[in-house]
Amino acid sequence: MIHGRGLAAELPHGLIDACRKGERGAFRVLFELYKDGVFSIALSFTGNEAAAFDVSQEVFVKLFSAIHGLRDNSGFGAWLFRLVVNACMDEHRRARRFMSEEEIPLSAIPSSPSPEDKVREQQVGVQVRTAMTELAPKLRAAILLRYVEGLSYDAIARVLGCSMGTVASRLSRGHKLLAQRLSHLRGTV
Amino acid sequence: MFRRHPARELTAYHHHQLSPEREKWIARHLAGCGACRLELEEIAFAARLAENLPLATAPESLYRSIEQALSAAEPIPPSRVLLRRWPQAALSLGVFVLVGLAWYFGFRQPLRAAIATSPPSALEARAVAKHAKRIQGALDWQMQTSESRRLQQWLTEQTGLFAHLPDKRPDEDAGHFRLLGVTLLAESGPTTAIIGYEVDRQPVTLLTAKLSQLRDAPPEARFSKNVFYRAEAEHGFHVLSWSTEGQAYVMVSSLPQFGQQGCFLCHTTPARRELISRMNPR
Repeated sequence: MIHGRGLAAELPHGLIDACRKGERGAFRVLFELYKDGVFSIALSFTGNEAAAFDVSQEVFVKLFSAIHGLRDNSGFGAWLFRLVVNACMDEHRRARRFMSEEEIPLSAIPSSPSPEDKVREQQVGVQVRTAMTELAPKLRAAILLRYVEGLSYDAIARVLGCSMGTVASRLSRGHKLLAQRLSHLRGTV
Repeated sequence: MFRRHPARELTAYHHHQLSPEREKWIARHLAGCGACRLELEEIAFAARLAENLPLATAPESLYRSIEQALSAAEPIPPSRVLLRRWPQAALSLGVFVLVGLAWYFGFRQPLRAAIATSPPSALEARAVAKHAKRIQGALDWQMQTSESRRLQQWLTEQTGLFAHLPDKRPDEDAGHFRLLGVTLLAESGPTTAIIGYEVDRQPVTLLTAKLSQLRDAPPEARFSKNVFYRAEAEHGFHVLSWSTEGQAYVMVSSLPQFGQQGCFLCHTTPARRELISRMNPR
């Protein structure tokens, strides 16, 4: 069973309404709740810390500027996922315009330091992230929403604006490509 | 035996996203199909890999950069927007003014005449009655004068009403117009002035009262003057009614056509007189 690890945080009651009123303190709380989730997806999508920083900044600026227009508080999660995916796609298009995929530097993992016995796990993570950046953006988005956020096929379909069948197909292709590219890790995970 | 392999559904099967019936069917298929089992193992391997995607911690500086970006994107006050876009604003204003002027001088109907279809207003009824009384010689002027300035002054002092009478008449009017005087309606009701004059020795009676005190006077038009004509049946009078500058007017006479020549008492410019002469109520 997959559980959300990033953006699936629980919202304190009244937080969205306070943000709508333009309360900066509420913005800060919202930021603290979602910053790591947004940054994680952006980093896994772009494979580049600087780009992930830009994507995260763009997502939060859009979120804070447009939250007053959000009519249904229960739709906040799907809206935020859409903002993140769209910002990632935009960043991908921008990066493609200025440099080839090979030139995009892959950063070291900035996540919490692990004890020695977790170094191997960390190395696997780096390789998975590298392999992710080589997937087509649409496949990447589906896999990140599934494995980082733990979204159902139905929820992924709503975020990406496609059918559940398309989500299944993208995930299927993504899995096959990941398995092929990381076949040398068989037996280690 | 031919068996269709559910390869495309294996990822959804792994994620338990299929209907129970379909899941059961695939489970049965997997029990007897080594190729699909291998494929499912491959998917499970990829899923384990994806579950290893590390969560990252956002840099501390992210919030500061967002705050800076938000401050830069704060809405510009409308006055500054206008200042920034003054060339567009000036152009739009210019076009608007030109269109307005073109309409005002090209298409606007400065005088619209129509035949009155509604019953006579109270002011009309009074005007007809007073004109008939005057013809019988039974109407006296409280202020008898042929000087337009004196009449205007008296009227304003007594009632607050205006009469736009020119101080000097054009030469062509010599011998044609004769101002007689003014009197106030003695009956209760709105303050009403009765101005008497002659055009080519024919009596013309003009009544005026404040629009705010009348209930059934024609409304004031914004960009043109609306004149209503009625042929009075009992005496055969021509009755013209209009409203302007907060006052309602009714003019009664037996002048030719619609009696519009009576309007020349106040209107002295050739263009306006031409327009009035061509008046054709429909």
